[in-house]
Amino acid sequence: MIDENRVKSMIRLAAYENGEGGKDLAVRRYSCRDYVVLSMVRTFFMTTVGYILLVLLIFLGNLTAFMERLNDIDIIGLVTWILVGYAAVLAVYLVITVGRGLHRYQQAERSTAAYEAELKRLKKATEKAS
Amino acid sequence: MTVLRSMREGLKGFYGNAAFLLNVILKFVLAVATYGVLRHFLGGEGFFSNNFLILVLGCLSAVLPVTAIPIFAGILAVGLAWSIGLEAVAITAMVLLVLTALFLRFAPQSAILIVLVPMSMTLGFPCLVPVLAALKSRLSSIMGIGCGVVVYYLLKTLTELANGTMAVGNDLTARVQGIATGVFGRDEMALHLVVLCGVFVVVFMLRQLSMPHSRTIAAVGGPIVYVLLMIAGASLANGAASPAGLVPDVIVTILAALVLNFFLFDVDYRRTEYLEFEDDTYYYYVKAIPKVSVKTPKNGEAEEEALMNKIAENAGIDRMEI
Repeated sequence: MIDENRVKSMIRLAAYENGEGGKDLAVRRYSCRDYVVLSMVRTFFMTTVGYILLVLLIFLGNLTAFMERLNDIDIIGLVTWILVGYAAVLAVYLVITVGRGLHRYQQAERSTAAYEAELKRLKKATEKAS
Repeated sequence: MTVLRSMREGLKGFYGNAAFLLNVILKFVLAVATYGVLRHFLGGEGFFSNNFLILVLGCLSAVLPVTAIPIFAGILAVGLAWSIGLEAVAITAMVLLVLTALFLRFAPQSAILIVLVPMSMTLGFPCLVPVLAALKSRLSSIMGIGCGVVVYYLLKTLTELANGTMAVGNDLTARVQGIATGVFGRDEMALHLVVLCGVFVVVFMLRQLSMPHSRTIAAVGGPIVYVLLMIAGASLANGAASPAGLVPDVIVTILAALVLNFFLFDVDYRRTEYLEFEDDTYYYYVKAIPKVSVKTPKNGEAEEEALMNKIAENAGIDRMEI
């Protein structure tokens, strides 16, 4: 015989999984540390690619001036400044990523707390029935 | 006002019943309009300016999430830039990738603003999208606003190149530098970037205040701040800003913002309640403002009600006795 309460509970859980809760459950598959580290790795690659393209764009925008003063430019100094800029930009972006990652994980924890409680109740009810 | 509220509830009910279909149609219309405007301004011939391609991309955008529209628009812009030259393709691709990697990374949900901001600027209402976005979205959507301004000037530069309005010479070095300077070297771009982001922040902060009518103040104050910042910015750049030229933008923005507030945040401040309570962890100070809603009769309810009243009247009895 079908237990109406269990069916309703399963429908609620399925609706949560298929709706907004799906994103929070995907976050909760990782531990907090792993989630933040994964976000930092993604940020590292995106920031590196973005910074290289940005430097290229700045270079292209000042191409004529650069070509005219090619013999007088301190290449080592220029490369040093580019690397210092890269380190600064990367540091800022990683700090922002850590903050956002922790905040997002806490949000997901709060959101999935009710879901997990309902899942436990459903499991108990199923074990009792069997 | 009650009539307007009834119409609003009716519209909400209609949208609730037909949400899936309406979303598909709206996304299709926005996508085709975006790709059509891109093709109109960038011109070009060949595969990327084909009507059939635009139709196919529109259909795909209609069924995919809304973030597909700026992605397809970016790919189309790079493809259309091919007719201008290889250097235009390279710069367009680089600018879009930098914006995606460094800025949209933190606000992917605001990617649609990259399409909406240039469209509103093209139509002559630069202030419209930042104010509406600030009333509806999160603070991180400022990334989308800034990226939208940059994309607008990128497309403007490419359009000027395609029309031959911008003279950059035939030498590859000169053309590359000309395009890069045309996008990032304009004082106008810096001015719009600072002003529109500033307006977004001001409207967002005003909306967050807990005082009565904060959203109305934000809706009206934002465009006024926009005019003041534009005049100040233009005079700093030694240009002359004409306030009269900004009036249509301000009027349209204020009207649109008030309509948005009416749909999203219609509350009755006269019935505000203040509550205090505590649990084991926190003390709570709560301010509750009731929403204004109008009960709309369901299908057939109004007719049934009228029929019951008529029966009671004919029988000469009180309505409650039936």
